[in-house]
Amino acid sequence: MIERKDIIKLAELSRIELSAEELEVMQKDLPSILDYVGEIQKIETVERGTDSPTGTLRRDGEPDAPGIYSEEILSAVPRRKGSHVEVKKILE
Amino acid sequence: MERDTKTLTIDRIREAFRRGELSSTELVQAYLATIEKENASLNAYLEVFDDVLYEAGEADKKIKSGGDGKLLGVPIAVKDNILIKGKRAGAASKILEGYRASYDATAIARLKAEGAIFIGRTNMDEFAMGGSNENSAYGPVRNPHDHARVSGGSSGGSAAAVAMGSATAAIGSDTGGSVRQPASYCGVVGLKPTYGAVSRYGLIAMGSSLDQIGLLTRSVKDAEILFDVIRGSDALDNTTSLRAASDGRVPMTIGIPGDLVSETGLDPIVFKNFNESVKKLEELGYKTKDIKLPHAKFALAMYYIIMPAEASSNLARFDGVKYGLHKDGGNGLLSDYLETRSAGFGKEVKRRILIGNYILSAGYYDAYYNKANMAREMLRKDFRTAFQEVDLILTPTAPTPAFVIGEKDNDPLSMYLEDIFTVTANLAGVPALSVPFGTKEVGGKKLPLGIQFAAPWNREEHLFEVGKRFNNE
Repeated sequence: MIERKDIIKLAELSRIELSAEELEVMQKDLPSILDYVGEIQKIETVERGTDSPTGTLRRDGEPDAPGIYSEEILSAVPRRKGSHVEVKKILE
Repeated sequence: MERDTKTLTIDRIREAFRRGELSSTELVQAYLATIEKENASLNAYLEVFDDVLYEAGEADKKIKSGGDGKLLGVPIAVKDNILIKGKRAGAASKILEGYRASYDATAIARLKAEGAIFIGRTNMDEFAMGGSNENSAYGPVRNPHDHARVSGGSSGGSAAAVAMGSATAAIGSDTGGSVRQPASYCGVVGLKPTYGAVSRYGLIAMGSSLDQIGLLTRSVKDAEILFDVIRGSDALDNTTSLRAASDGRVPMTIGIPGDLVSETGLDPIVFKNFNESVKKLEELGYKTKDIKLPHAKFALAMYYIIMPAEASSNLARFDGVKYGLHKDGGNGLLSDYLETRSAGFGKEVKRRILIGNYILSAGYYDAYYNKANMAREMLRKDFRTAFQEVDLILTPTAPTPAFVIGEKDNDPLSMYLEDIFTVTANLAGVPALSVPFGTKEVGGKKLPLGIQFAAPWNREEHLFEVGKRFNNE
């Protein structure tokens, strides 16, 4: 059974902070959803699952010239410094 | 030339363009007038593109000079999770606030190449998560047939846009029924192609082994015309494949999974209406046959494992660093992630991310995710077996007509049950088509119902062939 502390841990791993109200809703919803999907345990499965029914790889062709899309991509970045994406310090 | 925007199909529009009885500009003006009148209450469009009249004018010049293009000057509405270069795209989520697409989705590029123009971007459930359009960060879409009811979802805005007569057609995405179910609720045609038939490059991903770009149209013929434009292999989506040549079969036998479509769990009117659709098909000369899909009753359980697992992984990229919303959380990068994602994602998205991460965590991965993928293989086998006996499989599209807004707010499971007939096609990867048929009258309002045909992999032509006859086209 999924407990309150499990949900808090799960949210942390999901990089989401839940409000007290959201936590309460998740505590109510998650067990009933997991209980429902747990139904699949009843199926006798024999075959291995596949991730995708199709899939073809493409060749490594000629790469694009460096930098031709940089400005376009960087223009979407919320915090940038020149040609860099700016983030806060990770290591103190 | 009549100007009833609710009845104009692509063939009739192109014929009218050719004869000079209608211009793309006039058509767009008629659509804009409808939007002006209806959108404030329906909320189907998040944005009407300010260059649509300019594009229509350019198309008119090309039409006059004899330009070709299967969709030259035809206005199409686009779901907010499909990218058009230079336009806003947000999957109806706060987390993509301010984001402008830096490239065209392949489906958009192919529509442009045939001369289509884009009228606006349509509302949807946030990140395509939902079956009612109530999960949009920008408010629900109301059903054009009864404003108290939902449009269906997640492509609710696209369905309502076509139903209200404000676009010739719309494109959407279908992960578990998100094109077909709103099409059924709003009384339009909805096509989910075979997995791999249409490139998803430029579609904001939800469940990558399930997602497919689909179409919402006024006729089966229109779905066929548009499908022929957007389908085909694309180096930028490695699930796309070259289409197998037609098997030359004429579909004759229609399978009915009797144990799935029964009185229990179905609205009685939906059940009665379904039986009438069977009768109509028999009158058209089709043979019907009872079939079994033994694992279909577990399809929803499989779906609500595989989809959140994939969605939680896909949505990990929204971190406030690369695009869209950024919220400062104070100390350190982690606090920015937490602040941005908590403020940017809505309730249902958070719920699915949590479920997905739970399912994928060590200790549960085998019991849920691996087991669901093995079960999915059993379901595919059910379809392969059934299609040895029958050419198409028939079910209602949804177990009920459109429900009242707010009715299922506190009960996610009962909302999920609306997908019961549609998820199987995504899990198996087969194409499926919802065609409007019948209505249920509630409080003086006629609520549309839909019938769903599923065909074997890459046999969309069977759907079109039977769908056109069934829809009296």
